Amino acid sequence: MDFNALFANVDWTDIWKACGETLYMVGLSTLFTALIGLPLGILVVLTSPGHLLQNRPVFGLLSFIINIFRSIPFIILMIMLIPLTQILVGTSIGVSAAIPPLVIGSAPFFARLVEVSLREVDKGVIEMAQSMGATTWQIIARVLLPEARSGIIAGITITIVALVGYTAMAGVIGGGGLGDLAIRFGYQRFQTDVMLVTTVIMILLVQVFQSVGDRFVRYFNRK
Amino acid sequence: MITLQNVRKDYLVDKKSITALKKIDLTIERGEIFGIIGHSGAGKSTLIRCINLLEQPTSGSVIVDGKDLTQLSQGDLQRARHEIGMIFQHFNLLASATIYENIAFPLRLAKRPAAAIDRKVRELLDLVGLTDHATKYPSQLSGGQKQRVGIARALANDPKVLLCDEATSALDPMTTQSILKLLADINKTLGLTIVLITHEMHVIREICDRVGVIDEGEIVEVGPVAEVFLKPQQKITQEFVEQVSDFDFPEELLAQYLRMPEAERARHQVVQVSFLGDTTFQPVMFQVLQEHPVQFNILHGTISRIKDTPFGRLVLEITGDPGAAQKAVQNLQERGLQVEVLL
Ligand SMILES: Nc1ncnc2c1ncn2[C@@H]1O[C@H](COP(=O)(O)OP(=O)(O)OP(=O)(O)O)[C@@H](O)[C@H]1O
Ligand SMILES: [Mg+2]
Repeated sequence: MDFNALFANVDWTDIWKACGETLYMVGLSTLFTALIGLPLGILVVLTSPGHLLQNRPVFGLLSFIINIFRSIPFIILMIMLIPLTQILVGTSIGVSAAIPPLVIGSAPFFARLVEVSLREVDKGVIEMAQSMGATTWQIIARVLLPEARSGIIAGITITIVALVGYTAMAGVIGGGGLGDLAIRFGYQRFQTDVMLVTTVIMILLVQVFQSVGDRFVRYFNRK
Repeated sequence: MITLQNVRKDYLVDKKSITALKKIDLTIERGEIFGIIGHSGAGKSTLIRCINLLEQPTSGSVIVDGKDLTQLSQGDLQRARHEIGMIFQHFNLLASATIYENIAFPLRLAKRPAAAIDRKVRELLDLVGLTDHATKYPSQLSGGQKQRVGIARALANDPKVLLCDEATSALDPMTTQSILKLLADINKTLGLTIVLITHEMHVIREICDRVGVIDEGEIVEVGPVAEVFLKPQQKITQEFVEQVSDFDFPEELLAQYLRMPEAERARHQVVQVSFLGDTTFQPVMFQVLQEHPVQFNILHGTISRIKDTPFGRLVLEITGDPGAAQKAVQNLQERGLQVEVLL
């Protein structure tokens, strides 16, 4: 059977461009998600009852904000954030304009994953560090983060995979990427071959991210 | 070295206050190994955690090496804690760090120069016999080896005090012995003051100089270990002493005397003699035997050790004229043996 006939509608330059856009959006938003989500997760744990910086109002507020952003569907969040995106990026359409909503949608999610892995750090080890005169900074840098390292890496992997999915919706604001291609051509114009190719590429991307992430987790897991 | 004055600790649980420590007054001397024994929930962990202020006492003061820790600022307290090492029942090692890095941990906290850290860690690895395991991770070690890492780590900043919270409770008897021996060696060679808590009397007997018995948040008895072993004052102390008593006197031996005809009975007395230290006992027995017209017969006995001192307990049958037997008993007592008449 003729290969080109089978994928008659597939324009490979479009596909490669979309691939690049997806990777760009996933890459940058992962970076900012980590930069915001990690400190946020740490702060939630530290201010929680019975922890080092126990502070009910701060803990309650952070927890509330995280829950709000986690309960708004991404597609709505994206539209709601258009004014903010305009301020941050200077435009509210295009690939770069997708980044603020992607980050704001996934940072609270990542913060929760960070929270879970930090809570798994043995209380006894934190106490040990305190008994040796560690400051709160030292406990974060030398105990909490290293001990939770593999859990945090697993969290980043999960976040990346979720971001690949979120980017598919970025087409709504002209974000581009593989998902956008799939929806505009594959779904709206009934080009099943485009749908198939983009979906397969997304599956492959997720597989690669996941297995690289798993490898890191295994390497850092000393338990 | 350590003075607790009027220390009280209340926990707030579900808005209700639970008193873990009622009113603790305790002084621990420089260079001694002080043991604290008590049942589960008596307040042992709370007490030892008050010494380095891991637990902030509700009231009272905690004076370590002349400094009242309860009055220090956060920063000063953190510095003071460098001088107080601590080891834990569950070791509390960093799973993500090598043995080397675990021992270096307190040195890095104290921001020591790299060369000094390396020197110190190697010295400590050698001290606890783990040089070959430096690059391993804690999950690759046995419990005893993990506790050795814990000890090395606790010693890294050359502390003056070492606090041990049930340091051997997770270990088997052989390993417990070797860890206790290591602690005793450290106490001797470094002159370190050691406070250890335990619910096992044999740990106290093995290495402690003095012991405090804690019950329901109160210290009910304190004294040199030998004294507490020989003359336990409180019921709870007696129970702890019985835990390790290898002295199972067969009761039927006494019954045998009770069945004797009255006249025959009068010529036999059964006494229990306890002694501490090796030099005095045998000559004293001989001398008394020579000076009085009685005969001794050893019915039962054990000799064990309290820390480094031999400790023995014998049940003797004294045969002879009742008057002479009584005088012999008196004479034994006058010479410093503890004698208790059983029959
Ligand atoms: N963080 C805490 N919050 C509330 N109550 C506590 C806390 N820690 C200890 N307690 C209570 O204080 C009392 C003394 O506890 P502690 O842990 O000091 O006992 P322990 O002698 O060390 O017992 P064990 O041998 O079981 O370790 C107990 O009644 C315990 O329930
Ligand atoms: Mg305890």
